[in-house]
Amino acid sequence: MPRAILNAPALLRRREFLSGLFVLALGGFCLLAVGDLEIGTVTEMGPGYVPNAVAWLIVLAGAGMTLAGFWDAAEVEETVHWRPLLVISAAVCVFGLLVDRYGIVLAVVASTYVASFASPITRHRETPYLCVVLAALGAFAFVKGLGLAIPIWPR
Amino acid sequence: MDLLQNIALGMSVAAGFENLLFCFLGVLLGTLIGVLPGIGAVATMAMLLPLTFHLAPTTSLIMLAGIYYGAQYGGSTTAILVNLPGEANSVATTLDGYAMAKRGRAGAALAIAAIGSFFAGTVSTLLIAQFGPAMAALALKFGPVEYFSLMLLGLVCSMVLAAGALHKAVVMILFGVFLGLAGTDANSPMPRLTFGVDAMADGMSFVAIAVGLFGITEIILNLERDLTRIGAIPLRDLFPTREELRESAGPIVRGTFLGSVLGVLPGGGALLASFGAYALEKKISKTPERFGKGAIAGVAAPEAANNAGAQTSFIPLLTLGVPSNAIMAVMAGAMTIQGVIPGPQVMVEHAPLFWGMIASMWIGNLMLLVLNLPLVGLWVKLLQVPYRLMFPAILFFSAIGVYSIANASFDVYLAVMMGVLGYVMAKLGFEATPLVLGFILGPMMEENFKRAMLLSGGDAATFIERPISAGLLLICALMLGLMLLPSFAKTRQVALKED
Repeated sequence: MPRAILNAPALLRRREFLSGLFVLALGGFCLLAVGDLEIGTVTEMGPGYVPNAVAWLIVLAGAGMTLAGFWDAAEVEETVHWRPLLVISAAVCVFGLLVDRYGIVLAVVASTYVASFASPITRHRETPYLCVVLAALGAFAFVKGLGLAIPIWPR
Repeated sequence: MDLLQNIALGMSVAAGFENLLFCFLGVLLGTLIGVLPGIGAVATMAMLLPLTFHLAPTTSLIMLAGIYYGAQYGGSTTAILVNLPGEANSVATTLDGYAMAKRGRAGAALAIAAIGSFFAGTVSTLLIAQFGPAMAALALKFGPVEYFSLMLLGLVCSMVLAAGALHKAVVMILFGVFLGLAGTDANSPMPRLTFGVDAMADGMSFVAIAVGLFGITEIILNLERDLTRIGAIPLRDLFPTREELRESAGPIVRGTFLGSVLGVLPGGGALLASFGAYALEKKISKTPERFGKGAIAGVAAPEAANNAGAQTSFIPLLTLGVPSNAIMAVMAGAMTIQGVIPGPQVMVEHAPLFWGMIASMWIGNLMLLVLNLPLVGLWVKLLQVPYRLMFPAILFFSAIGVYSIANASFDVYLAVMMGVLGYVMAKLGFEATPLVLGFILGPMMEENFKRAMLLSGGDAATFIERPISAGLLLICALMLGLMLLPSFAKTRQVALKED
């Protein structure tokens, strides 16, 4: 076994090792979802038969990749940029949180405002105009025009 | 003649006012997103899915199809003038297209790309009309055993043709299959794998998954890169010289046919077609050293091929009911939402829809020729819309599109989760397409697998005892065997390598 095993930070920069952990996490998630679903037999498969098999295949693949990662020294070339990742996710979540009760106008304005912090390329004096344009588009084109059943204003 | 009759039927459907209008809107929108780097056809089509609820099935499919092949035209404009692929499928065109533009022949390159695409679009439309019915007739003989093997072949092909590492594609397929299994399955009344979330009782929202993986992830990745400085090369005249026309005739024809074939393959489609055609031209050229330095054949062939491939990739979906790539998975979703089950029955039960859609492709190609040649200046201007204004708008369309499918906030959060998942996948070199294919094909495969097992009394030998199924499985095994050959693996790596 290579020396790197003693050096956890170095190991966590390895692309294949990390990929393996990622797949293990996916597999774990799947097993969790399967829970105690009925598995059944080959002729009378329960609802859990195929999901359970697929989940274990993913876990196995993840374990294999993680192990193989000890021998593959290639490092991750990409870096994670937290700002766009977190801000864009938050912006879309804000839309989901607000749209039900507070209507499309507020949801669009709030999420567009949040999204404006995702990147330094934004010019903040443009944001209010963008909010107005998009909110109007949502209310008129989507709700009025296409008849989507989304409230326009808070209810 | 049958073919003529069918085409006449199609024309009469496609030429209706509403269908013409939405065909036009589709190709217009397709050109738009094709020109703009940073937004792709899959995400656009997924976002617009809910909006097509209100249209007639034929009209909505005509529009969605228009977005796809329209994007192939638009992508070439950006590839040639800016050296960025407006659409992933135009990567091959950047190589020689941009080199031509730097020599002042941008107009000629654009004209050849449009003419080549039009020729390819026309031929592949005829090919679909010609071979579609035969394929569908074959598929009508398929039982659950054959269907299972066919879908397995589709997944194997998509693994082999995925750009990244093979084992990563396998994992993505498996995870996609798993996600696809969530919800209520056919044999039991209780929803499964939902963590008790009501919004998932009918399964995960396909739109949320597609928009998350292809839309939100893309925005996050684009904001990391510097997309602020896009400099387009100015256009002079649009007319290719007689010499250039003569040199591109052969490549266009060859590109069209190679593209048509590669488009039909499961896991294939436009991207593979354009690279394949480029490689072929370079190989048979008498002057291969000119490639990469502005050879017109290097523009003509991939552009013809990607358009041909884009269109023939409809064949497996419309005749076998098996989507061969992510775009076709979206189309399958659209058809299902409209109550049209993709498969061989479409041609019989929905003949006007089938032929109308095919005829609309040709009409759409004609529209695109007009849209892209005289109006190319307009599209170039569009490239100057800065990304800081574009990304909030894309985000807005994504959120509304996902939410309005079922008016469920959960779907919006699911799209965010998928966006984050897609981001991690991109950083670690996993591709999204196999996941989406697995998601669509997984539940269909489970269904057919269970039925096959029920019919055979649990005897797995049934898959190799039936000849068609055995043949399909043999092809699967051969493809996997090829992958294990080191020399093939190397070629694949070179051929499918992006950027």
